[in-house]
Formats: sequence, structure tokens, C-alpha cells
Amino acid sequence: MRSFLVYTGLQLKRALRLLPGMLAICLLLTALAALGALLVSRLGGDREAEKSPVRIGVVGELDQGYLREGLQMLQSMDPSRFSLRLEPMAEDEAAALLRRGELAGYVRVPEDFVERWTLGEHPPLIYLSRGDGVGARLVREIADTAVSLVLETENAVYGAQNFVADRMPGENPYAMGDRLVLRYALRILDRERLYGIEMVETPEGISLAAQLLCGLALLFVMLWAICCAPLFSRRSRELQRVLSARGLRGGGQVASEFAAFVVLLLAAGTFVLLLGALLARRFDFAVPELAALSRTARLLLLLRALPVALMLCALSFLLYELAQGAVGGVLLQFLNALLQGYLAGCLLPASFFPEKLQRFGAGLPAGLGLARLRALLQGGTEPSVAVWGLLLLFLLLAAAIRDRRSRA
Amino acid sequence: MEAEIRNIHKKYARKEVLCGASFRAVSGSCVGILGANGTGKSTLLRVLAGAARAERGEFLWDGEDLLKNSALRRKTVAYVPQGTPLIEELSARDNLRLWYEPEVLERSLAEGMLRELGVNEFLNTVAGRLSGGMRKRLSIGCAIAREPAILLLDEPTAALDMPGKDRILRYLDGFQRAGGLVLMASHDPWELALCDAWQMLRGGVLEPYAYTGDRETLMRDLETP
Repeated sequence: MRSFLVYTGLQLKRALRLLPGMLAICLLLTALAALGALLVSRLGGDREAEKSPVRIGVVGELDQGYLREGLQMLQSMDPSRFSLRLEPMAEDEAAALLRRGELAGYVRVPEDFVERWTLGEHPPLIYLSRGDGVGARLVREIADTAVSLVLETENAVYGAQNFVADRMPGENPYAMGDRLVLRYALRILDRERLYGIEMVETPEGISLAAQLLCGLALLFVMLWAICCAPLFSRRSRELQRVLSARGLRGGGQVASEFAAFVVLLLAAGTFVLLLGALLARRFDFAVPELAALSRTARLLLLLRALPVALMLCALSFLLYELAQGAVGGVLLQFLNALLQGYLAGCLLPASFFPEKLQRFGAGLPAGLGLARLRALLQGGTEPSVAVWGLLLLFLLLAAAIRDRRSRA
Repeated sequence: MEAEIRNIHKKYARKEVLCGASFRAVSGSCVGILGANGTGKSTLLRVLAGAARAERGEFLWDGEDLLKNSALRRKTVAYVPQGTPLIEELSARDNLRLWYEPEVLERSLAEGMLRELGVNEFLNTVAGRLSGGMRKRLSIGCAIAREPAILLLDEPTAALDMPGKDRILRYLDGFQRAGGLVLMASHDPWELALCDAWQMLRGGVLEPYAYTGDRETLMRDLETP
């Protein structure tokens, strides 16, 4: 027990000695990442947007009433950088593309759609998508807006025609209606005043800002492991052997070193949290789920989220234990952060990916961590068995590997 | 007191490195274990130190099997591996704190073995900045915290300069004179000259060897399969 306590104390001392260097690496990496993101957004933003617009299929009879020309006009007028691409196609093709995840969704235009509208009917446009993703929600919002727009316009036009017929006997109500529609198109149907952009909730039931915060927090924990390379790459295998011979086996060694790793994470995490809070205040960035909480509730939330960070730390620790040498360790950490960050939805919401990948990502440790954070933000308080289970599993595996190596 | 190593077997994957290594030694002596590279000298020392597990065999000390009685082994046996079993970022004093009780450490620094090893000279220097000789002295200092009766050393003065070698060999000589048993894996003529018995490890088995101090004979014998 004495060996364990002294070794833990010495590991903490060692970790604190390495902390300034590791914080410097962390800041440098963050600055480089921010610079990279800035450059990409400035230099490559336009080209990227042209390369990867959101594709929406349009199926049905498009030759009715200049509908195809209308779509083309709409396409050429679209001023947004995050561009939509409306593509006329057959329904079979659209369905196949949708299944492969190459299409965000498609609109089915009913037969005689335009003619039926002119006769006063309201045949519905059907939008088919893969799920309840952000794209589907956006389309629903747009559809709602379009329906109110059309209904209100109709009310206004018919109301104006009735007014002219009743009160202005010399005037032709239909010619007056045409003038009104033209004026409406020229002055009122102005894209800039037609819609506002609101952040819709992500499919997981939390705001996009909260989703982003959770993803970035997990990504930070995984990337922090790279900055901790000096702590892990300079461990002496001979010391591990001697400790093992003196009775401090793999389990004790791993527990001591993991404690030092966690202290470093807490120190860096506090630093980044404070910096993040300052920047959020400066740039007026708020997470609705957190804004509603008191300080104590936020602190409790942080404490409840801690096991997720510990679990990811334990995974990083295990990877360092598996890797041979500093370069291998850093590469493994980088791959881990990138793959898990991407697939689990820390970088992009998982709903951007095909369903199979979404399921796979949700089963990864980062995916489970993300789900846990989302549950906490939605008010969940029960401890997550999966997170604690994985934490223990990773540490036990690391201890077993250490024992095997030390006593081989 | 007598130490007996009896029928030690150790395998790495499918390769049997030690297949029945046995010998005897008494306290107050120094046994040199010779053998070509890769014959299993370091493995034998690791097994005796409890840092590696043997498939079978015994390490008897006063009739007690130290491979089974780990508490007694920790008290009796000290092991200094070939590499550096130190925490590089911490000072020599911090490294010693891992193995010594605080009051024992101060006593040993003031008038005990650590003073003999000259550890006081670099007590507050970070281990990573110490010279090879200082590191080795510190490693030995860490190993002997429990005043062991048996000292296992794996090429203790390899790559050290003459003064460095001399300091460590003088210490080992003193340890032996004080009644300690030294088991040392080595090729070095200086180290071997300190020993009063030698064992050659060949084909996983130990055989008594008559070391004469002649380098050419030793070279030829080491190369003989």
C-alpha cells in the first residue's frame, strides 16, 4: 500500500512537472487547428460549397405549367453558400440514391399538380427523406412557410377581387387581381424578407449548440491524450519490471499513473472551460440547455459528466499501453480521436451519415459518451452503467497488458 | 547461508530459453553468469528477482523457495536491471523516496550504503540529467533499500567509464565482504575479476566455468555452441 501511495504521489509530481509543456502543446495544436479552419473557410469555402451542395430530387411530371423552368430559376437564384441542388429525376432513381445516402430527400410532384391548383384544389407535395434529420426538419419548416404564404396570398387576392367587385363597379376585378399579384411578386416576395433562419433542434432532442459543445468536449478529451505523450512515452519498462518484482503489480501501477493522467486532464479542462466561458461571453454564444441552469446545477452536470471523460481517458491510456514508443502512441491517439470524433458525431451531427454508420458510431466509446452527455443535458441523472463498465474494462485491460509485459 | 537455484525453466512463446538451469552459491561470494548474447542471462536474473514468471524451478534461500514466498523474496533479493529503472523527470531524492521509508533514507544518506555509493553528490539533480555512472549508482541505491542479502545485477558497469566502473565494483566488493551474495550477468573482465565463481549459460543450462582472466579463451568459449 505504501508503494502504491508513494508511486501515485510521484506520478502526480511528475505529471505536474510536465503540465506546462503539455499545455503549451495543447495551445499550439488548438491555435493551428483554428488557423487551419480559418484558412479553409476563407480560401476554400466557396469551392467546397460548390462541390458539395445538398442534393434534393424532384420527381413527377415536371413539364406541367413551366414547373421545370421554375425549378431552374429557383436553382439559379439561390444565393446561399450552403447551396441546395434540385435535380429532376425518376422516382426509382431518387429512391435508390436516397437509400445510398447520396440524396438528402426528394419531392414527389403529384399528377396535374399545377392544373389542380388553378382549379382551386390543394394537392399536397410529398417530401420523402431517410429519417428525422436536420435536412428533413428544415424542409418541414420551409413547407410550413410556403403553405402559409400561399394561403395568405390566396386570401388576399380573393379578398381584393371581392372588394373590387363590390365597391368599385368600373374596375375589372381580374385585371386588378393580376396587378396585385405582380406587385406582390415585385415588392413583397423578396427572399431577404421572406424567411428568417432559426436553429432547429437536432434529432437527438438537444439544441445544435449543445450538440456542438458535447462533441467538442469529447474531442478535446481525446486530443488531450496526444498532448500527454511525454507523460506516457518516457515510462521506463525496467522500472515497471522492478516495481512488479517488489509487489506493485500492473493494476497498482496503472491506477497510480491513471490518477496522474486524470489530474492533468482536470487541470487542462478547467483552463479550457474558463477560456471557453470567456470566449462564449465575448461572442455571445449560449447553449440554451445550460442557460436555464443555476451555477450549482451546472457544476453538478459537470460532475455527472466526469465519468465520460474518465472513460475516454482510460481508452487513451489503454492505447498508450498497447503502442510501442512515442510515435506509435501519438499516431494511435490521433487516429482514435479522428475516427471516433467523426463517426460518433463529435465533428458533424451523426444524422449526416448513413444509418449503418450512425449505428456503428453510436456503439463506439465516444458515441456512448455523447449519448450520455445528451441524456445529462436533457435532465437525466441516473449513472450510466455502460460508461462505468467501459471505464473499468479499459483500465483492467491496461493492467493486464502491463502485467503481461512486465512479467514475460 | 546458501542459495540454490534448482531446475529453472522459462519459455518465450515456443522457444525454451532456460531448460533446467541450476547452481549453488553461498553468502559472502560473487557468482558471474556468462553466456553469449540471447542465451538467457537477463531472463534468469529476472526470474530470480520475481520480475518474470518461470514455468517451473526453485530458488532456495535457507531452505525457503523465494519464487513462491514473494514477501521473503522482496526482503531478501534486490535486482538491478541492465536499463534504468528510474523516473527520469524526478530528482534522485524523489526516486529514492519510492523505495525508502523517509527516516531510513536520511540515515542511509548520512552514514549508510547510499553515502558509500556517493548518491549525496547528485541528490537534487533530475535523474534524466545524470551521467550513466550516476544513474547506475542511483539504481543500485534504489535496489538495496531493504538491505538485501542477495544482489542480482545485469551487466552493472556496461558502458561506464573507468572511474564509474571502479566506484560500483568497490561497492560490490564491500557488499560481498559484508556477507552479501552477488549474482551478476556479465562479459566484462573487470566485473568477472570480482567474482569467485562463474557459471556459463549454454543451451538454457548452467555449467560451472573456470574463468582465467584470458580474454581470448573467454571469447572462444562464449562462441562455442
